[in-house]
Amino acid sequence: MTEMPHAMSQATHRKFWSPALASWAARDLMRQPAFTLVLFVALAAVTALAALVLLLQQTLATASTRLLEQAPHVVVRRVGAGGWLPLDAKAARTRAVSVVGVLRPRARMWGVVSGPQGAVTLMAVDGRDDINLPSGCSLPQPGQALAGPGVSGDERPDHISLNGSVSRELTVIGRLPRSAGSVVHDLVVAHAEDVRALLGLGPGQASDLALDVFHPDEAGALLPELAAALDWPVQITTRQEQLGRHLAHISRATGMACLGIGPLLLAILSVVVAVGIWGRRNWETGVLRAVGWTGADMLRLHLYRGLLVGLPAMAIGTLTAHLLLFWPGMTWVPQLLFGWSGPPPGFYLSSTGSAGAWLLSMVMVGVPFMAAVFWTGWRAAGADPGDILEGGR
Amino acid sequence: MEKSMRRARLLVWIAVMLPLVTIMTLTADRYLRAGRQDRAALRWMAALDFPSPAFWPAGTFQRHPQFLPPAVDVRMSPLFDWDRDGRLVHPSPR
Repeated sequence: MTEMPHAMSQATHRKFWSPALASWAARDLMRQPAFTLVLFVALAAVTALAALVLLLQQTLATASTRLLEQAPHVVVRRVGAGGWLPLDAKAARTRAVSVVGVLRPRARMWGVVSGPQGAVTLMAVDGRDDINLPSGCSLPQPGQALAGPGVSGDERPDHISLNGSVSRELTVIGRLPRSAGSVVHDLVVAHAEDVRALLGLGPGQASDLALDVFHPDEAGALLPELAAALDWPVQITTRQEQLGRHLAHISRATGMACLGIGPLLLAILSVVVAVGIWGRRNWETGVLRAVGWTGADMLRLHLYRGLLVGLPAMAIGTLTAHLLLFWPGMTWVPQLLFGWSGPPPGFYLSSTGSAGAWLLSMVMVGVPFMAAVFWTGWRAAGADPGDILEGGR
Repeated sequence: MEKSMRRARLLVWIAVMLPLVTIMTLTADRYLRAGRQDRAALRWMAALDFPSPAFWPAGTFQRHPQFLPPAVDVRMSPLFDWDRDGRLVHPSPR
């Protein structure tokens, strides 16, 4: 033991990386497997939590933005003193199209009704122009419905009863795909006749009017003209406004979750500090210094030990966070953050833009950790071996 | 001694290779899946002119902020048709 470190110090003092010293550091870690394992798990957990905190809000915001980019540019709702009112579909379309810059006005029939296991979103597809359902789904006829993966019948699986203004039992002719769960999870698509009856809409009435505009960025400029063209008081919402509301709700939900992670981080850090104090070995430092290790060798030994544990732990932590968030059909986020009491939707989130969060989480954990390792190594490098050995007696 | 040094060298090799393999895996996964995983959801959103994504359950004010009366801020109020769970009592146009 006395010759090897001395020889190493002679051979490696010019280069930072020394395979022999790295192996020595690895063997040093293996002598304390419990301490090494706790440090590894704690670092991986802290990195995973930091990555989740950074990725969660950004990923959900990206998902919302991507989804709402497919939504109509502007939605017009008729409102009265009591709130939202049905509008006359034909009159609304005619008035809206008279405004220069308005494209493709289409009256939508949709609302929320009670399903077998809670509220469901009900949508009509027949009354609208050029509807073309993906996945080869056929349009439902009167008495039929397409049901989302989260809507199930109470007694017969191919029938669902819905309760709105009236009660209707519809035959499920197809299931909406699970991979589109973040849109269609609790959706029932039905024929306009059934939707109208369930929502209590009169003949020719619609829930609202969706339309596109020639320049989406300038949709706000059209709103006064659009409001003036219609005969009733209306509430007009642009896609940007809707996205802003959606992002605000997401920020609130993820912010609360991140606050909850704080105590967990503190607990992990406390464990690491406690284990570190318990495993401190000043006496060995004194011995190594006494047999000829230089201060630089001591510093490098500490840095190697930190890197050998820290790099793989941070990699595993980042990988864990990535898998937790982007695993196909992931359900823990809607379950924990968005208050689903029934089966939550499976999210298929896009990992676009996640690389920055990976790097940032590794920096946030890695820099303080390596700074602590460096500080410990620096103290070991500058310590007097005689004092340490005297103190260790 | 020799055996423990062999294990130590293996540990060093794993500590160097594991981050590299992880970074390559994450990069490959991003390259292969980013922008593709949510295609089905995007297609259905566009096809149905859907009002809002199903992040929150149907009937909650987060899912349908448009249900709120226009003069009211986005918050729950017992005076405006919301039950204790944040769901609308009469969620359809009347």
